[in-house]
Amino acid sequence: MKKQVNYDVLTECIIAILSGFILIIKVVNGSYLDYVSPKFKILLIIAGSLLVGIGMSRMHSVWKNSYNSHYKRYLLLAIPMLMLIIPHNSIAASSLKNNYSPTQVNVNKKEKKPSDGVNSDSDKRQKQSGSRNKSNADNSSFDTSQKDNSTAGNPKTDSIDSAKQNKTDFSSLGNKSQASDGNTQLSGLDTQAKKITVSDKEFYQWISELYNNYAIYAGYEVSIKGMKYQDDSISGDKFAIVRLAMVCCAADMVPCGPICQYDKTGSLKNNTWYTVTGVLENETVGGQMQIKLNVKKVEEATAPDEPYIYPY
Amino acid sequence: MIEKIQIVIIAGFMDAGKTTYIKQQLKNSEEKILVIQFEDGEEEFTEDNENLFLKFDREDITDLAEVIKKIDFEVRNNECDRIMVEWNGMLDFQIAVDIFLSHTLKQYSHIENVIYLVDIATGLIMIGQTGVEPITQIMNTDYVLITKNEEKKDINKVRQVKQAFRSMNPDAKVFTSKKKINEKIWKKKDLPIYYFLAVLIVVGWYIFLAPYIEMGGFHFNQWMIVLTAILLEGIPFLLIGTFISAIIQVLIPDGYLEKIYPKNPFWGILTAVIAGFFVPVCDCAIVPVAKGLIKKGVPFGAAITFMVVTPIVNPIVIVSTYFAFNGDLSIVGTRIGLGILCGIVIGIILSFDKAPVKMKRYNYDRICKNCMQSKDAVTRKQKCFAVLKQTEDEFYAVVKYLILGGGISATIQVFGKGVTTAAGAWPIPILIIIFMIFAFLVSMCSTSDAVVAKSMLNQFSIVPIMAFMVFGPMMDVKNYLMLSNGFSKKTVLHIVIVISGVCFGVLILFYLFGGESLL
Repeated sequence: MKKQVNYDVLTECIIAILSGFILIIKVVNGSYLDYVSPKFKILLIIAGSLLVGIGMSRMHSVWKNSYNSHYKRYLLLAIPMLMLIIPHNSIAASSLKNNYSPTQVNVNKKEKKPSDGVNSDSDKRQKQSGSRNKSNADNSSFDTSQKDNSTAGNPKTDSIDSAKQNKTDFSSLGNKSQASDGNTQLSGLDTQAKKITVSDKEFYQWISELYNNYAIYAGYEVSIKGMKYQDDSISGDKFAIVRLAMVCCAADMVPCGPICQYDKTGSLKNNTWYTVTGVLENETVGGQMQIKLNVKKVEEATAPDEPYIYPY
Repeated sequence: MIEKIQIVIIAGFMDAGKTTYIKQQLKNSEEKILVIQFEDGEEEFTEDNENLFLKFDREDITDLAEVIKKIDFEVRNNECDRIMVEWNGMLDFQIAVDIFLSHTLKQYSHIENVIYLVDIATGLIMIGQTGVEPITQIMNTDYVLITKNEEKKDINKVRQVKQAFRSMNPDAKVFTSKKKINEKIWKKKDLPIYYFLAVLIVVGWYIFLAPYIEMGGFHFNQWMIVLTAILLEGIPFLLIGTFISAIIQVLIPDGYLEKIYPKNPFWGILTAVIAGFFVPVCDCAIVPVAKGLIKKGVPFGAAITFMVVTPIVNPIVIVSTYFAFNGDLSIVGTRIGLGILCGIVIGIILSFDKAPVKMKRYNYDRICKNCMQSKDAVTRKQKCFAVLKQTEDEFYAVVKYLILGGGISATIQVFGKGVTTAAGAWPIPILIIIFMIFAFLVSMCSTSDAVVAKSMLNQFSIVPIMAFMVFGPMMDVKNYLMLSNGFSKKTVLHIVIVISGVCFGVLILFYLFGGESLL
């Protein structure tokens, strides 16, 4: 009997092998970082290889006739794979950021219920994070609930924001790495001129370094790049210069960065990248110390290569 | 292109009423039908001038080329509009495929539908006793018709049959009335290409419309990214989980686990808890193992403990929980601790309570294509293939639950902010119940449910999330279906009530003893 191709099995093989390659390619070119944090690298490679293996192993059945088909179930795997390919080609990074900050500001993973009141909530979290970071007595959290963003000065984001409950937790993210930070060598430090130029790559390290060793760096002139972010408690002439920290995956982004004091805040656009230069000061919010930049200069900047930062 | 001749294959056991059914079709049809019989039924066809008849018996099947030649000759010499095949209930369906999808016959005909007829009274018992061949037919069938059900009294029985068939071939539609199935049998199925086209159209519209959707403040893009992220996180765990589970199923001989398992309730429960750490089988594959244990005389309570604890303390589940919650050992520990606690309490309750355990006579879990494949696998190479095939089948069977769960979670996160903000403030006991129901319905595999659970942590406190992660692996829709395949309805209900009750109780205690402050 003449051999004929079984298209059902062929589809099965192709989808499995392609899916496997998509996962591996995503890891190799680094675009998986748009969705998950770097710790998933090995897992994704294993999964990709398994899929390729499965596809290869089915090859021998391509010449075998079969009646009932499973196209639908292969299509099931095609869904996540298409989703992996499409947004990446069609959506620019900027629109992605537009989505996340500040309209969708997820909180630190330790954050839970929306607060009934800022105080009680931050007290609770203070306790929680305190128990997690026993070494750090002055662990601080900055938590706000947003109901109205009318002072932000950007009509478009205002309308999107107003109905949403947003919170941000700027510094508790930094706690984890503090132990090792005391003697970290970070670039951009000029002790003589008392200047710190924070590079894109070291954004997160510097934020936690400045926060944890505030005493050393107080009064330094810090130059840092991030997005302008405002919400309920950071409004008026204050804003925060933030980057989105991906704790685990895109489902838990946290805006992270220092508060800035600037009299021309109203002229800055939300969700736009700025390089802010200011003097490091502090401020006490809800009984907790926060680092703050007293802004001297603001320049519009281009987005960094990697849109997100990965604290863990 | 010339329209190909439609072939409908009628399969089923000898006394399922195939001949009667085909006769009715012939009577009602104006067309010239070629009837090909591979069966020596009690009922014979009376030859008539309108239709054509061809008959093969068991010896003929040994030479397929000859069979194909004869059919080809018949079709070419006598024009016919349609072909109906009466397929022998004890013949492997692959043979039918080899005949009718052969190069010769494929040129001018194609199999339109396969219909499996099952006698309501005896069908299920027959299927359970006759081995592999009937299963190959059921797995390939498009429609199932329950016959000899004229009185239509036995609703329970119909449900049993439906359930049994769903476990063997989830795509087959089961009918009880001939009228309804008659509308379907000559109907063309959608070409698979349409599904791909549909996807392409959706994708095209998405690319085209995305910017406009975004402008309306509808965060579709964000939803896509959150869902993709959840899937990208969950799929590796799911794949690795099913892979290891497949290795176990293929390499460990059938019944080995049952043989070495202690028969004493106390040791049984203890073994259940400890063994769980070393048996990386998720909740999708654990029910058949637990059923096997009970059959082999392991105490009921201990077996159920094994069933509920293993999917939680399974190493892959531990790793995925650890990853999803950022290496937070307190969450991992709590999940394991609560799972074991629930398992032990459930085991003790079921050991002391004297409700009779009723198992069904027939049990299909083990009769599946892949188990057969894995039993055939002798050489190392064959075993590798069997493992990969088993991985694939199990992966495809559960990945839909991950997509569903991830979709719900992403929707809640992105669009449901207002609702969940209000719901987040509800009393914890109510949230626990809601999340238990949610876990039951979405039926996620325990290897990847932590990822979804984590993504909801933004809106809800840890206690209901923990309810999702502890109860979900123990009991959900797919486990329920698999259980009802092997046990009587009463027993299944009993198991479900005990598991849910204990889980709820343990979680309430967890809440009262300060579970909220875990984070």
